Amino acid sequence: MAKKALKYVIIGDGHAGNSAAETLRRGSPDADIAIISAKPTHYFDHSMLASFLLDKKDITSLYLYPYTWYKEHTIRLRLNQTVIRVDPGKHELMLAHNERMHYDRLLVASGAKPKLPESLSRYKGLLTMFTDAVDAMKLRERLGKLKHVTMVGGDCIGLHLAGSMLKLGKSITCILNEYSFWPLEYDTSVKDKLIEGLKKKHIEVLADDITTEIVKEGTGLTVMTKNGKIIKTDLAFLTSGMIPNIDFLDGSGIDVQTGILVDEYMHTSAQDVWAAGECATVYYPELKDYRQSTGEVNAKMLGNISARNMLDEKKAVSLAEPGKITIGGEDFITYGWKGFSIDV
Amino acid sequence: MGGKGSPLTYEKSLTIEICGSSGDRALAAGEILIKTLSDIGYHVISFDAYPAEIRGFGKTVAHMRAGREFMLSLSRKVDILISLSDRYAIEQLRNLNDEGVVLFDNRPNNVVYEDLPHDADQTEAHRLGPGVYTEKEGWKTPTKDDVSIAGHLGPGMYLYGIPLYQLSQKTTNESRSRNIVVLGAVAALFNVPEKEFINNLTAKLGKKDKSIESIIAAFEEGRRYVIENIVKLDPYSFEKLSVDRKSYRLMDGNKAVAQAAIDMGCKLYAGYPITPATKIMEILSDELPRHGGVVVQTEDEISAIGHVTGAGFAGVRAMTATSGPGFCLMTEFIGYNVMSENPIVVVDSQRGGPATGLPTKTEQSDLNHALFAGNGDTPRIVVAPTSAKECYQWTAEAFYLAEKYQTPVIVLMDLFLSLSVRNVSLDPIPDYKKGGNKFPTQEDMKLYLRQKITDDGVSPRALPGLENGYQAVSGLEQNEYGTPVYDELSHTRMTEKRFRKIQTALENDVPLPQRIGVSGRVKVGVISWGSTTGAVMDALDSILKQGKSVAMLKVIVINPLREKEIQAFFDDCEKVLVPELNYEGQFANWLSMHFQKKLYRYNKVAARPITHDEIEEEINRLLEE
Repeated sequence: MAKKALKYVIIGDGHAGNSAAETLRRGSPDADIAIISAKPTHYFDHSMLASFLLDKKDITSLYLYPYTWYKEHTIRLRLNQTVIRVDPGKHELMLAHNERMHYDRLLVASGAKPKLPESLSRYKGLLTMFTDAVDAMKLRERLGKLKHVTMVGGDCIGLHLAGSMLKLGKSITCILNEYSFWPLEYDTSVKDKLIEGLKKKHIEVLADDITTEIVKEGTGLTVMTKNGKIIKTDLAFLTSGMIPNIDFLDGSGIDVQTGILVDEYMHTSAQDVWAAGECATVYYPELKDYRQSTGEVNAKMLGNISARNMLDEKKAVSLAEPGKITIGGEDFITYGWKGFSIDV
Repeated sequence: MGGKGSPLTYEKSLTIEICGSSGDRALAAGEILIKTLSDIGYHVISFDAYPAEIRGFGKTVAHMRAGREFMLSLSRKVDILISLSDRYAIEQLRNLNDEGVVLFDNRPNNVVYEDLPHDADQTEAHRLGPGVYTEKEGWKTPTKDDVSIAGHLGPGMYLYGIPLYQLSQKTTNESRSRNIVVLGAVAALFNVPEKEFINNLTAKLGKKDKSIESIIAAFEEGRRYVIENIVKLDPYSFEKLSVDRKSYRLMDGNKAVAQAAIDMGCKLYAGYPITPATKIMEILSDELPRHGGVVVQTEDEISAIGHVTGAGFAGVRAMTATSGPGFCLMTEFIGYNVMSENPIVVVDSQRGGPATGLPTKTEQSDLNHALFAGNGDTPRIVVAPTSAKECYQWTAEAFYLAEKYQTPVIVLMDLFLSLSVRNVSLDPIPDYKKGGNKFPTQEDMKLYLRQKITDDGVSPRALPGLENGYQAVSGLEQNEYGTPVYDELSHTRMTEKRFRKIQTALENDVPLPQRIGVSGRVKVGVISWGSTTGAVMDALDSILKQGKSVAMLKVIVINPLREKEIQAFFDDCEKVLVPELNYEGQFANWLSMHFQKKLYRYNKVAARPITHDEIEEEINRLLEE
C-alpha cells in the first residue's frame, strides 16, 4: 500500500518558512503543505525596501515569491490567520477564528517582533514599527511629508531603514544604548566605530542615551531623552531589536528560553515539531552552545535544514558565513544577516 | 484602518456576493447593499440564488454587480465574497477573482472547523455537519466534518476576519444580526457612505423591527471594528457619485410587469402561485384593488387563464402570469383565444425544465412552447423583453397588441429577468397605447359581424353593452357571424384572416430590431433574445472598445419576425452567433425555419444566466477561428 502523504504545516511566512516549504515540496511532491501567517500580506523582503520607497514599485513585485509560485507548487498560503495554540500531543493547532488544524509535522518559523522596552510601553501608539509590507506601504504613503525621522535604537532593521531614508534625503537622529543594539555585541570598539560611521553619513547620534518620553505635537512628535535632549521629529521608529514571536506556544510544553530551543537537527522538545528562523534558539555543535538565530541568511539556511530533517534526512546545522554591514566606510561583522551597506 | 484605505476609485464594475445559509439573512443584506449602492449613484444589477424547497436551511447567495457605467448582465467572476456560512461560501470561491476579497466570521459561535486537504471531498464534509467545541464537553461531533473558508483562499486573495457573531451578540443579544454587522464592515472597508446605508436599513427593517436602534448599533459596531482593526490592502472602493438618479427606480422584472399592468388599466389578474412569477401576483394583490381592479388566486393555472379569457369577452383588460409548468396547463386556452379572437396577456417566466424541473433556476427553454403550443394553426404574438425596463415597456405593449389584434400575446420572461434587481428609468407609455380596441363603426353595427373578414385581418370588436353588438363565441371554427361552420372555404378564409392580422401587426407595430456595434460588414454578428441579450450587450461593449469587427441584433418580438431586417443583418455577418440558455438552441432553430444562414450556436443549461465574459470569450473564439 502506498505511504500516505504527510501534512506539513509551517507557522510563519518569512525566509525560514518559505525556504522550508520549497524544500518540502521538492522532497515530497505529494505532501499537503500549508503556510500560516498572521500578517495580512505576503512576506516582504526588507533588503528591497529602498527599491520599494525610491522606485515606487508595486509591493507584490517585492514579495519573496509571487503568488503564482504557491499555486504552481500547491502550497497553501494562509495569510491573515493567527495561530493561538499548539497541542503537540494531539498534533493540532488552534487558530484565532476557531479553526482546529491537524498536522503530521510542524515547523514553527514565526519569526520575531519588535522589542518594546518596558519604559516605552506607554508610548507604543506613537512609535512606528517596521516589520511587514503593510508597514512599508504606510511609510511610503507618508514619505512626502517626512523631513526628519528618529530611530529609537540601532538594530539592523533600523540601520537598513536609515540607509533608505538617507537616499530619500531625510535627516535622521539615532538614539543608541546597550539595550537597543541588536544583534551586534555593544562593546566599546563596535560602538565607537558605529558612531563614527553614522556621523560620516550625517546621522545625528545620541550615544548611551535612553528615550524617556514621547509627546504628539500636531502631525509630528517630540522625543525626550534621559540626557535632556529634545528632538522634534516627524516619525519615531522602534528599532530596539527583536524578540521571538512565540507567545502562542504558552502551555504547549515545548521548551523555550529566549526562543524555541532546538537541537542541531532543528527539532524542538516536542515530537514532530521543528523550529527555524528568528523564533529559534539553536544548538551549534561547533560552539557547543545555543545561539539565538537572527537574520535572513540564518533563516533561509535553517528553514532548509529543518525541512530536510522533517523529510527524515539527518542533517545537522553549522554556522553561517558571516555577513558584513558597511556604514560610513566602517565594516561590521554579523552572523545571520547577508550584509548591506548604507554608503551606496 | 491603514494600507490602501484611502478612497481609491475602482473604475470597473465590482461584483459582490453575500453567501449564507437560509436564516443568515444574506438576501436581506444584499437588498440593503444594492439599494445603497444605487442611492450613491451606481448602476446596479443583482440576482439572488436560493434553494427550491421552502425550509430553514440551504445555500442562499445575494449576487450583485455595481459600476459607473450602465450594465445589463452579471459577471461570472466575483470581486468581493462575504461569507455568513463558510460551508457554503467555500463553494463560491471558485468564482472569486485571483485578487478577490473575502470577509468572514473569525469568531463563529463555538464552531470549530477542521481544514481539509486540497482534494478532500467537500460534499462528504458538508454532509457530516459541523463539529462543535465547548469548554465543558470538548469536541462533541466528528472532527473531519467542516471547513473554514480561511483555509481555502488562493494565495493572492485578501482575507478580512471580522468577529460577526461576537459583535452581533454584543449589540442585539442574538446572532442573527451578523448580516447587519457585516454591512457595517462593508461600509468601512469599501467606503460606502454610512448615511445612505442607515437610511436603507431603517426603511427595510424599521417598519417591522422594534429594535431598529440595536440593529443600527450592530451596523456601527461592524464599521467601527474595521476602522480600528483592519488594514485595508485590496484596491476596491466605492464613492458617492455626483450623478442624478432621481428618475431611477430599483426594480426587478416582476415588479416592472406588475407596474405596466396597473398603468395599462388591467382590471383582472388571475393566477396560481409559481416561482418565479408569484411576486407579480403579490404586488398586484396589493396594488390592483387600489386601482379598481381585482386579483383572483385560482385553484390552478387552467382556471387562471379561464378567468382572463372571460374577462376578455367582457371587455376587461386582464392578465395572468406563470412559469413553464403552469403554462403547459394553459395551452388549451391559448388555442381557444386564437380561435375566438379574444385578447389575453400571458406572462411566462421561464425556469429550468422540463416538468417541475429546476424551480429556482433560470432558463430560456420555453420558447418552443410559447411559439407552437396548441393544436391546429394557432398564430400568436410572442415578445421577449431583455431587461427590467423592457419588461415594463413590452408588458404594456402586450396589452396594446392583444387588444388591437384580438389575440393572445405571450410575454416570455425568465427567472433571471423576473428576480434580478436593477435601477431603471421607465419611459412613460404613450396615451394611444392605452386603448387599442377596434370598435365597430355605426355602419358596422347595422349588421354586426364579430368575425368580419377585413383587409388587415382585424374584425371590429363590440364590447358588452354596445347596442346590437351581440356575438356568439366558442372554440369552434366560425363564419363572420360567429356561427359554427366546418366547410373548406370558411376554414381557409378564417385561418388566413387569423394569420393576416399577425402580419398586419408586424407591418404596423413591430419595431425594427436594434442593431448595435460596427455597421456594414462584420466578422461576427450576434443575434440574441431575452435576458441573454444583456450579457451580449455588455460583452459587445467590451469588444468594441478593442476595435474588433462585431455587431449584434436585439430581437424582442419573436413572432412575428422582422425577416427583412434580420436577413440584412445576416448578409452583413461572416459568422452569426446565437447564444441562449437552452440545450436545443430553440431560437436558433426558429431562425433556421426562416433563414438559410449558418448559425453558430452557444447553448448552456447552467442553471444560471450566461455572463458577459462567457459571451466575450465565445465571440473572440469565433473571431480567431
